[in-house]
Amino acid sequence: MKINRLYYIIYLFLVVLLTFSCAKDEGNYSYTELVKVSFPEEKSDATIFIRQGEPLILSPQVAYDGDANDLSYEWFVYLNSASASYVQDSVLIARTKALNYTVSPDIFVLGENYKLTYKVTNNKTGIAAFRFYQLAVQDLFTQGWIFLEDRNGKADLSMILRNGTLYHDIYSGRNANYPIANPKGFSISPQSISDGVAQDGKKFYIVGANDAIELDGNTMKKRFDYAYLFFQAPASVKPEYIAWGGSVGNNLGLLINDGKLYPNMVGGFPGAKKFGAEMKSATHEYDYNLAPQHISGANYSDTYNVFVFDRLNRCFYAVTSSTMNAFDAASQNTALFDMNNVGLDLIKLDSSNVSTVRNAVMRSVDGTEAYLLQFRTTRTAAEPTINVAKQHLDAPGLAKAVDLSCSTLSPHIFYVSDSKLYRYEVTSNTYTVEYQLPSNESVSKIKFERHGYGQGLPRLIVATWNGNEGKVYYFKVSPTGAIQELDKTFGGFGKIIDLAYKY
Amino acid sequence: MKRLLSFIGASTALLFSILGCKEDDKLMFDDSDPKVSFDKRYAGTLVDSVNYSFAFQSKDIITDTVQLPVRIIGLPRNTDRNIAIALSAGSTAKEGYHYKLENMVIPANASDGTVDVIFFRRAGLKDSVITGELKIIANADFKPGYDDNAVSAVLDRLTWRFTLTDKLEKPSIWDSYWKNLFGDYSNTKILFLTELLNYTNWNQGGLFPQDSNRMLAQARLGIYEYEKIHGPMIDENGNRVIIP
Repeated sequence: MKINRLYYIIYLFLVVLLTFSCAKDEGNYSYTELVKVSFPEEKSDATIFIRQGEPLILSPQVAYDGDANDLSYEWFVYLNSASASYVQDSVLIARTKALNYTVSPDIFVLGENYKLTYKVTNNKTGIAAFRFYQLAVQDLFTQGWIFLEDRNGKADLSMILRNGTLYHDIYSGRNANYPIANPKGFSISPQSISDGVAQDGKKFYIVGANDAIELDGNTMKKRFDYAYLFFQAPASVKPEYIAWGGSVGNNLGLLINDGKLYPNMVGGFPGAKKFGAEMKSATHEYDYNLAPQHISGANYSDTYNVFVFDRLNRCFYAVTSSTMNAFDAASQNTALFDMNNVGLDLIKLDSSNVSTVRNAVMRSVDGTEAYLLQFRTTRTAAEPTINVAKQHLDAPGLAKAVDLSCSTLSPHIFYVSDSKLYRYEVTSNTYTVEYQLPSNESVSKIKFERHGYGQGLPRLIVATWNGNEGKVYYFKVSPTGAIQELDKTFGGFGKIIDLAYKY
Repeated sequence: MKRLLSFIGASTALLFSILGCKEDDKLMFDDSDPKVSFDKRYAGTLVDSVNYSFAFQSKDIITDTVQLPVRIIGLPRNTDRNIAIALSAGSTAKEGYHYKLENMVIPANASDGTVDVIFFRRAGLKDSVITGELKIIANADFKPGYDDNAVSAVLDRLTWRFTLTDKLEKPSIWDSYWKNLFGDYSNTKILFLTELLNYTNWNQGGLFPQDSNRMLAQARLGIYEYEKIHGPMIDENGNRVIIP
């Protein structure tokens, strides 16, 4: 009887418990608004150049409505170069709100890129906000124009940084044991090159009449001598031009030695890539002599990615990784001009104010007349031929100009003759004199810089030589192509032979 | 009686529960039966089989060595262990005359080894091609290992085949690989290219683009310079040697 009563109580308890479990869950849909951390300043994608041993100072604004003591801060970095491992630990460099860090060479390698992460954590909620910075470890020479000079017959480099700081004797001061006589050219590859030989990055070359080198663009010290640039160096060492053509995804190294082209094909495949053997012309075999210039296409998918000019046969070639091709009849409107036989000498290959059109400023064989040949880099159904126009240039002294530069914003060509800075307008076939340089100065190089003063605010750079000193003039140019004013003058150069922009 | 049955039942359940708590033995590899096979993880024609020709070598080369990677199934041991490799029936090569095998061991404390196949340049090879098929067989140290085909391999992982000759023959991959670069085959052309490019590995393709581009440019320049001095190069069939 007693046991039955006990069972009865247990069953009753369980039934009551079951009844309770059937209670409807009303849910809880009211959310507690968390106080968030944010960064009110606009995000910048610009790379921050840092130097080993120097401070890196960053003070980003942090917006947080709660108690500031709730927040903790971390600054950490990881290698962000193309060749960096996907699996790597970050390195914590600070736990402060603002960063004031001396760049340690133990962490930051010269020439490499790093991603810096700023992490602000709300310790109460565990929620963190992030801000990212791109860092590049550089030497002094971060961004600006580099000038190749002839100083007493030897190559040297000077640089004008973006802030106007000028450095001279850059090459001679760092490479005293490797002088390069009779400098001819200087180039920086437009893109980072991965050749399996050197550290990935942009390629810097100095070319002299009888020698050339690859330069380390960070330390400005010689990286490789001329013979090392080849799989098998040519018997006759007469370097004229080293540059990288093509565009992103189809970079092609172009080395002209004694008028012959030696290509360097790079890509995503393994193995060392160097300059190969002398290239054959599809039409003139090895009986050609290239001008030390090239012009590239605009995009990977262009019909023609690299153009060069043959001084001997007065024709253009379309360069691929294995051949120098002539232009098909179907791709040409020879009523305008024939790319395979232009019958003129080349002054300058340059870009134009139309992104898919290239300018070839030519002179007649007797050197008296100047012409502009314009051609496209790609063929389309709407524009099946690449020839755009040929026009005689009614521009005084242009046929004899040492150098010229085409605007990429307006239809203008800038050049100097008799110490006068001319602006030739292609569309109207007229010219204006924009500036009078000192009469004892002759121009050695001229360059149009599209974004010299920021987006769409161009600069014209004119390098002169008076027999003793080289000078560089910075002119402000309006977006429509008029010279507005002489902005700055820099002196103390040797004779400027070439220039290229480092960024 | 009822109480006794309940007691027995409860005791049995308790006993099984205690037995169920016994820790299992760890599942460990049984190393009592080591095996070995050719390592064809990166199988191309080189590791799967070789067509070797002395015809592309200079006259003073009378032997050459091809290395065969081998790998064991099992754990390394602290002593060298021998591998047994036999010549299959039907092979025309003679061991000790056309070739010999050396270094047929898995070294102590290693899982991999490299067997050397040393080829001999015999007079009879001038006008004949001999074949050999090598098979891994059992010995005191190893049994034959994997007998399946590795990725892209034609032969299983216990078999390695070779041909050996000193006769100038069109490489089997010429039409599928080299023709794209150097055009139609001729004995004259391949001997010219062999000397010019200092390249002999004509039975293997798969060059990286920078290397094939360089070889093509060198070949074009080489034939151009030859013709400047000697005039057109004419092959054994009476045709002009052309590098396209």
